[in-house]
Amino acid sequence: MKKRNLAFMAMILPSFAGILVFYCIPFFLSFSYTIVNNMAEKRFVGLTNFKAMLTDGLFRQAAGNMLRFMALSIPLSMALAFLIALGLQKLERGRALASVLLLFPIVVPSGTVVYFWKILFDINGLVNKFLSRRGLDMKNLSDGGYAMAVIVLLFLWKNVSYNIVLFWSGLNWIPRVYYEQYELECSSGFRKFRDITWIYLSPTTLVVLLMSIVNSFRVFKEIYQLCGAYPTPGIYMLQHYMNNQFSSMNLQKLCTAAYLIFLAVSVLLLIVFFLQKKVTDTFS
Amino acid sequence: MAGIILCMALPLPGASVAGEELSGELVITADGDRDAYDCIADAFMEKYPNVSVRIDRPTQEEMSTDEFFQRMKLELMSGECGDIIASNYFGTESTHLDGIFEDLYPYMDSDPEFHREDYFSSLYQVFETEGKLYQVMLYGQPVYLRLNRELLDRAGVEYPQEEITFWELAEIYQQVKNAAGGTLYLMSHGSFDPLASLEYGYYVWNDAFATEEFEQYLEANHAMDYPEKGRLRWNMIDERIPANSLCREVWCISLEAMNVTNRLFSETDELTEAVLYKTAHGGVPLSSYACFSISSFSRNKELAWEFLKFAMEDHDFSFFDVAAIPVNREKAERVYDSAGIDEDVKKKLFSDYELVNTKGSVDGMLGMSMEPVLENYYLYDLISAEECAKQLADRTYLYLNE
Repeated sequence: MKKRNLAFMAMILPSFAGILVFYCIPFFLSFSYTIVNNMAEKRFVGLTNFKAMLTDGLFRQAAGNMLRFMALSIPLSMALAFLIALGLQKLERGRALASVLLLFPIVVPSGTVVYFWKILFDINGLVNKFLSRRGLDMKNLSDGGYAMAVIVLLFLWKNVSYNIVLFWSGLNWIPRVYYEQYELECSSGFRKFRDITWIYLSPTTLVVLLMSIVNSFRVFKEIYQLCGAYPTPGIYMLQHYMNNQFSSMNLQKLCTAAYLIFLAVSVLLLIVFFLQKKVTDTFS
Repeated sequence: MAGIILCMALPLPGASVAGEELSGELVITADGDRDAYDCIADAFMEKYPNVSVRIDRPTQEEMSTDEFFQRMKLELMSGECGDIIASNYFGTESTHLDGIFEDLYPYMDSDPEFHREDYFSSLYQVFETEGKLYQVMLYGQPVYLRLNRELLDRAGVEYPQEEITFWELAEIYQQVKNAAGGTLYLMSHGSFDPLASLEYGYYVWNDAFATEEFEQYLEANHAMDYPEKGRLRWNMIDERIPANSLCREVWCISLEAMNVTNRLFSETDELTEAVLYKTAHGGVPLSSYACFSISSFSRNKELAWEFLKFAMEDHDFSFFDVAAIPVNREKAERVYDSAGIDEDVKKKLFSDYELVNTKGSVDGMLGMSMEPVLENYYLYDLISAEECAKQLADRTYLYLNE
C-alpha cells in the first residue's frame, strides 16, 4: 500500500510542482506587491493600495461594466444553450450534422472570429452598409450601448456551444424511466420539465453557471483585438484596467486589482457551490 | 543605420582629478544605435579606467525593437534591468514611474559640479512631470519647415519669416491650392496626419480633445491633402521635392549635409528658408531626442549619474550631437564651432531650441487606440470632427485616470 502511495505521489509530483511554481508561489508573492508603495523602495503601506483601489473611479467603472456584461451574457448563454440542447435531444434526424455545426464556434481561433466580427460590425462593416442603404443611422463601436451588444453577441457565439455540450450530457444522464412513468400518468410537458428535467439537471446547470462566469472573464482577448487597449468607456473591463497597469509597469495597482477580483469571484463561486449543495440536499 | 561617428578626446573643461576615484560597473539598456552608445561608453571608461560599462542591446536579428521594449519593461518590473535605461519610449509623464526611474533633480541639486543654467531650458520644460525629472535628453531639435517656392510664387503668397504656426500653414495651403488647382499634398510623404505626432501630446495631457479648438484643428487638418497612408520616412536632407507638395519638414541635420545646415536659414532655388514650426496651440515641439533614465533598482546610482552627466556635458562628440543639438549649452557651442557652423545659424538654432516646450508624442498604446478613430475621420469620412474629438476624449479619459 505504501509503495502504491509512493508511486502515486511520484506520478502527480510534476503537475503539483508546476502548479506550485507557476500558480501558488506567484499568487502569494504578488500579495507582497500589494502592501508596498513601489517595487524599488518597498515601503510597507498596509492596505492603502486596496483602499485606493476601492475608491478608484475607473476601477469601479470597469467593475460595473464587467457586472453589466455578466448580467446580460451569462443568463442569455445559459438559456440559449439549454433550449438548443433540448431541441437537439428531440431531433430524430440530422442530429450529427446539427452537432457539428453547433460545435463549430469552439474550434474557430479567436483571431478569425474577431476578423469576422470586424467585417460585420466595424463602422465600415456589412451591418452599417445594410443600415446606410436603408437610410438608417450607422452604428459605431465607439457607442457604448452598441459596443456592449456586439461583445455580448460575440460571447454568445463563442460560449453557447460549450454550454450546449454540458447541458446535452446532463440531459442524457437523466434516466428515461422517469419520463416514461410521467407519460403513463399523462403528465404535461411542463410537469415533466419541472419535476424531472429541472431537478436532475440542476447540478449541470450550476456547473454551466460556474463555467460561464469563468468564461466571461476570457472575453477580454476578443475585445482587445476589436477595440484596443482603450476602447469606449462603456466596454472598458477590469481586464483592460489590469492589462494597462501591466503595460504601465504599475505592479501595485495590477496586483491589488487582481486580488480584489479574486476575492469577488471567490465569493461568487462560494454562493454557487452553496446553492448547488442546497439544491442537491433538497431533492435527494 | 550606422552613421559616421567621430569620437574625439578633447580636453575636458572642468575635469576633476577626483574623477579617477570613480569605480564600478554599469549596464546600459538601450534600444538605439549601438555604435553611438559604445562611443560614449568607451570615452567614459577612458576617463575613468576603474569603471566598466556594458551596453545591453541585442541586434535587430536577435530581437526586434518591440520585443526588446517588452523585455525592457519586464526587466524593469522585476528589478533585473540595467543601471541606465534608454527611455525614449516611456511616457514618463505618469507618476507611477515613481519607483521605476529615479527623480534626477536631487542628483542635480546635490552635485556641486552641475548647474541647471548650463543647460537649455527645453530639458526641464519638456521632461519635467509634477515637479520631478525622470529622464534627461542628450540632444534634441526643434522642428522646421521649408516650403515650395514655386507654389508660393504662383499663388502670390509671401514667404513665412522666422516661424510658422499650424494655422498659418493651413491658410497658406488653401491659398496655394486655390491657385495651383488639382491635388496639393501638404507633404510628399508620410501618413494622413504627419504633423499630428507633434500635436496630440498637448491635447492628451490637458484632456483637451473635447474642445472647440481641437475640432477646428481636425477640420483644418482634414482640409489638406496627404498621400495615401504610408510610413513616414526619416530621410536625410533630400533636395528633390515633388511638384505638388507644399512643404517638407527638416527633421535631422546630418553630418554628411553640414553644408545644408549652414544653408538652413537661407533660401534655395526650390525652398524657402527654414522656419520654426509651432503647433496649433502655440507649442514649440521637440523632435529627435535621446533620453536616458537611472533605474531605481540600480546599485550604482551615483556612478550612473556621473555617466549621464558625462554624456550630457563632457563627451565630444558623437554622430548624434551634430545630428541635433546637445542639451548642454557649452557642449553645443563646442560641437557646432568644431563642425564649422556659421555663427548666425548657430545662434538661431540655439535660440529656437530654448523655446521648445512640448514633446507632442503620446504613449504608444494610447496612440494605437486613437488610430482607428483618426482613420475613420481622415481617410473614410465616416465620422464628424465632433464625433472624432469625442471618441478621442473618451479614450484619453481612460488613459489619464488609470
